[in-house]
Amino acid sequence: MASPCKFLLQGEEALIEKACLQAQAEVQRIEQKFSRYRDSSLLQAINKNAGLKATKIDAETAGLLNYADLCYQQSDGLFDISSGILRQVWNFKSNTLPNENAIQRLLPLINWSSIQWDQSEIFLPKKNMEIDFGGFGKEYAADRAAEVFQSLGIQHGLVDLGGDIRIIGDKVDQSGWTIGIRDPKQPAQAITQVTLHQGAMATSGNYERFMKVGGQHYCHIMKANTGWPINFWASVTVLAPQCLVAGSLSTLTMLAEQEGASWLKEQEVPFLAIDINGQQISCL
Amino acid sequence: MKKVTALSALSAAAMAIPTQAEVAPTDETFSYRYTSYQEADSPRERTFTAETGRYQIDVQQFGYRTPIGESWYLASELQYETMSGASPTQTYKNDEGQSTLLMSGASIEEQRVDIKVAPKKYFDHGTAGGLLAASIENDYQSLALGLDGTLDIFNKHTTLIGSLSVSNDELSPTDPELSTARTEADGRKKRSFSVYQGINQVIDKFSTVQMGVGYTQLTGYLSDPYKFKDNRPEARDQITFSAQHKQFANVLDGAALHSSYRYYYDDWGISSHTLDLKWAQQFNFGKMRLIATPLVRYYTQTEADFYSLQENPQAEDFNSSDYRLSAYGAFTVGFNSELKLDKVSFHFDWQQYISRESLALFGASDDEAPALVNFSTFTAGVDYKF
Repeated sequence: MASPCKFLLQGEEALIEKACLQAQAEVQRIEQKFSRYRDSSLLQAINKNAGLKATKIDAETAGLLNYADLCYQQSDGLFDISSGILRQVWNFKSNTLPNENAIQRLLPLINWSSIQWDQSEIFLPKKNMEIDFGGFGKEYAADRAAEVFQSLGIQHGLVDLGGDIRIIGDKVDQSGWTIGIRDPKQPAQAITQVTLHQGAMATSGNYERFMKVGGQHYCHIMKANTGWPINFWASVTVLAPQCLVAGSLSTLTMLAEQEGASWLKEQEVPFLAIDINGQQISCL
Repeated sequence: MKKVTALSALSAAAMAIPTQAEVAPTDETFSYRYTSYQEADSPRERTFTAETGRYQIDVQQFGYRTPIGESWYLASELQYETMSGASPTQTYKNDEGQSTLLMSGASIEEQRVDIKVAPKKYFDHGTAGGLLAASIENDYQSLALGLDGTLDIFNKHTTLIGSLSVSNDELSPTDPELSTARTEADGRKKRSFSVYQGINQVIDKFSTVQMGVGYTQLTGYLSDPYKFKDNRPEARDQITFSAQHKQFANVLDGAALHSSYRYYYDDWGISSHTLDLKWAQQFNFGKMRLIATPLVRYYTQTEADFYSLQENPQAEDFNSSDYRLSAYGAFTVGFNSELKLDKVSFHFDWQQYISRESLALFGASDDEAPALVNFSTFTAGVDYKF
């Protein structure tokens, strides 16, 4: 994982040591299987076969594709796991905007609904199409790592994968885990704190990767239909039983921009949404 | 944005992502157990013969488990038992209506060797295992083969369990010339066929329940050649229904309550109920972990149709005075403990078993069964992980 990976645990040392190794192995397994950066990953195989042939997938991958499909539907197509290809033109280190023609050339390759898949294989119909699980892979890994701990008898602890948190179990004294939510304007500082006894918390923020051009903020979360970044919310934090779900709810809210607030309220989950003007909507 | 609740739809889809394959254990372990089994003496006032001392059995058990390749696991066990003492040969009602117990005269000294090998293969959604077991005594030999499998469904919240086993035993009683029963039994076979079907369901994070039904068919020489007037049918069909519940609790450093119930029925007229309760309590002391498990079990059964205390039953009639076929009830209390260190863990277990006619809940009879046994077991052992 590119971001810091942290386990906070209470219990017997020997058991914790053993469990940490296994949880770490589980995180690495997910990374290796679904990384878009590793040549040997299953995801690379799927992408290399784009326009050529179908790739065999296992049940876990099919489950994740099904999940991605649901996110696509829920967001009316704004969340699309084939949109990662926009990285080719959006370089946040360059501090220059991409050429609109270049974006337009890529848009035909972003089309989840054209991808053929079932429980055993997937086929990307056009050459150069790509999918990736960057939109929720980290959150999924946090859930899985927490489940590894639970299955080994660890009852008190949390998994923190770059700010995506999944609680394994409450603290021994049941006082809850206190977790800070980043201030999008000063991400090194917390804007507020929440106390979690169970479940998960995930945040999507426009401060993770971005550039400022002509005073305008351009972040890495992009709408699949336009190829341009969203620009309404600075960050959305959601609490849900699973980290995967918390992460998707926050990302989908970011993508829905203004409409996202009312949609998120309908989900009846605790959240904190901060818009680019620093205005907060809190339901924590 | 669609107005359906995304939370429930996403949560359901997230839950539906299958977890990884059940992973084969990676630990190579060696284990040793010593068990002392001691039966209480039979009651002097009801025992006709001079001998009242009953069985004392010492068991030494060596186990070795190792992973083979990525997905296979092999468990093997060697057990050596030495038995000494006398056993009941007949119980009959004397002229005064009192039950009288005859014991085998000479104290028996015997050895038994058991060998078991069980390979298991781990798949993405289940396991498949085999079992080969052999047991050798000077008067009894047994060979058993088994197959078992599990299949995980519904995102591993449900596991289907199935097993099948057959055994083929051969009797060769010591001193076959001593009685006609022993002569007849010499070289006779006893066969069994068993099948079990079960389902294990995860209820929530803290509890699981398992239910199952089992059937066993025994055929061949099922009498006891060392007992007098023991003439049993040459077939026996047995059915069991069982249910187990496991509940984890956040007590001290973690605990679990195991409760189970089993109903048994056979075509010899015996039905039984078994109720088990166990509380496994964990205590953490720095790097050490202690799991202390007090347990209690109650058992009650009805008597077999041909159980009788007649001194001289008709030779052609089915008959047995074996106390294990009488109506009785039994309590077991026990305490198991396991002390886990880094690579080594120590085990100390103790159990006391008490059986009485009067503890029977159903079909209790006024006849005394003085052969009903009380015994205690003590086990000490060590496991070492390489």
